[in-house]
Amino acid sequence: MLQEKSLIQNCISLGIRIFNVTLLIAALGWGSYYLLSSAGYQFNFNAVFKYFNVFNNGLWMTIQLSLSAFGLSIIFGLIIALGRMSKIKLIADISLTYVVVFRNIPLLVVIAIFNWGIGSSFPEVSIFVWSILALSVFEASYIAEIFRGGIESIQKEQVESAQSLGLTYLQCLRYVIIPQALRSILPSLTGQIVTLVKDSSLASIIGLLELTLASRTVVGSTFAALESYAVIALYYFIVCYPISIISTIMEKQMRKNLQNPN
Amino acid sequence: MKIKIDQISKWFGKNQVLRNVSMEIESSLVICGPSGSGKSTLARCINGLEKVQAGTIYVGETEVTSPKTNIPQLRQKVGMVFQAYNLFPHMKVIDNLMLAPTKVLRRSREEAYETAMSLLEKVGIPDKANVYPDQISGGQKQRAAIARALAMKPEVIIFDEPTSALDPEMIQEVLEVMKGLVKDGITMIVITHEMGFAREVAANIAFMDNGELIEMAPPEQFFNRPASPRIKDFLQKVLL
Repeated sequence: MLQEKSLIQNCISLGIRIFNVTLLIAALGWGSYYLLSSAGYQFNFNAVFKYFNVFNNGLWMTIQLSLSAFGLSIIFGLIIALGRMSKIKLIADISLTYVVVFRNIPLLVVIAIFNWGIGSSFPEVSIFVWSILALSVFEASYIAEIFRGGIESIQKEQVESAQSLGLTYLQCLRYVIIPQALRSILPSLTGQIVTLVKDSSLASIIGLLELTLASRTVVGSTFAALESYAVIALYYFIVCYPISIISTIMEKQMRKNLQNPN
Repeated sequence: MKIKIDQISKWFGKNQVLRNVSMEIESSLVICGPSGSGKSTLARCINGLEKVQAGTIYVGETEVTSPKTNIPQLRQKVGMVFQAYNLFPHMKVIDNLMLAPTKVLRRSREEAYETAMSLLEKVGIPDKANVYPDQISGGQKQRAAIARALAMKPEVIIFDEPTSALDPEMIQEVLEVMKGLVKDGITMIVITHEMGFAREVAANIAFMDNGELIEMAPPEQFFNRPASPRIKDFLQKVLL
């Protein structure tokens, strides 16, 4: 009984926070609109709204790109994280090199290398695929470090007791380490998803018609730069903010499960 | 199951922690000795948690020290109970018991559940089945950990200082459960300083010091006619 109450209280306080944030954004938007208008700027949202479909298609592409890249980067990241912790020195060194390399070059350059560099030898592969690959290979270097931190935070005794029961290392990973590690890495992992969605905008430079490039084309035909970038800013926000909210809820839920099991 | 340890030695870096230890274990054995004497390491070598650099260990017909041995398979027969319980905190007690039987032995959930419940009865905490480990006392945790090891129906079970982290009033409840196991005929290797328990339950008591096996003898002989003055010193300290 007591617990249900606290769950409802949690939801209410979260709801109030979301409402406040939304309100502030609306106020900020309206304030900027008012200030710029009084400074003489002629807003032309009508021209931009004609291209509603272009924005929506761009958003859909951004979502597809982000989801695919996220799925792949989780897999790559896990492999690299395990490689980093490998007892075989060569594997550990290769994984470390991977992380160091991709963390120290800009994503824009990675995308360019994949598409115009490697891509020139494989003309049949589409820019969508190159974008996914570049993004996931790049983000994997960050996700790998998040995973490694989470896995290393699990006490070695947990592994030993799982192995003493006859579990293989992979089973131990699947049933004992990852479920526990997930709890501690969830905040940083969702942070990384949000980063990934925003980073996906860089795929526009190789001509992938996602949200950012969609906005550029609209600017090209309407010259309404402020308006159309404001629209996609809102789009990105609407996609990313719920991810953070879901992460907060999941985090609370997991903590609650741990503390109040009955 | 018979365990045969032959001339094993082990080093951590330059530090030799086991020196030419040989012993044969057929029924319950208690290993004691001062801390740092290598008793824990010896026990951990038996289920392959530690590797030896010289010598051989046989558990039944299986050579633990051979690189060809399937160690996970060996561990299905050799259970282990740790000082710090090491229950899985993200699973309820019942799921702690069911994990290995369902995933390793591929038992059905129903069958694993039956076994798990009967084991929780046996260790006296059936009412804690649906509770997370953080919600129960140390003694209950250790009993749950024993039940978890038993759920694999091991032929050997190693206890690495199972009561050292417990409050005095909880030590007895864990020792009672362990005494029950002796009657079931499981080969038990117990590292403990509980000499009363050793006297009552052990077929043999081994004393280790500085990586060496000093003596291994039945309790009566061990307590009344210890072979070495080091054992006398040790007994005086722990029996005080």
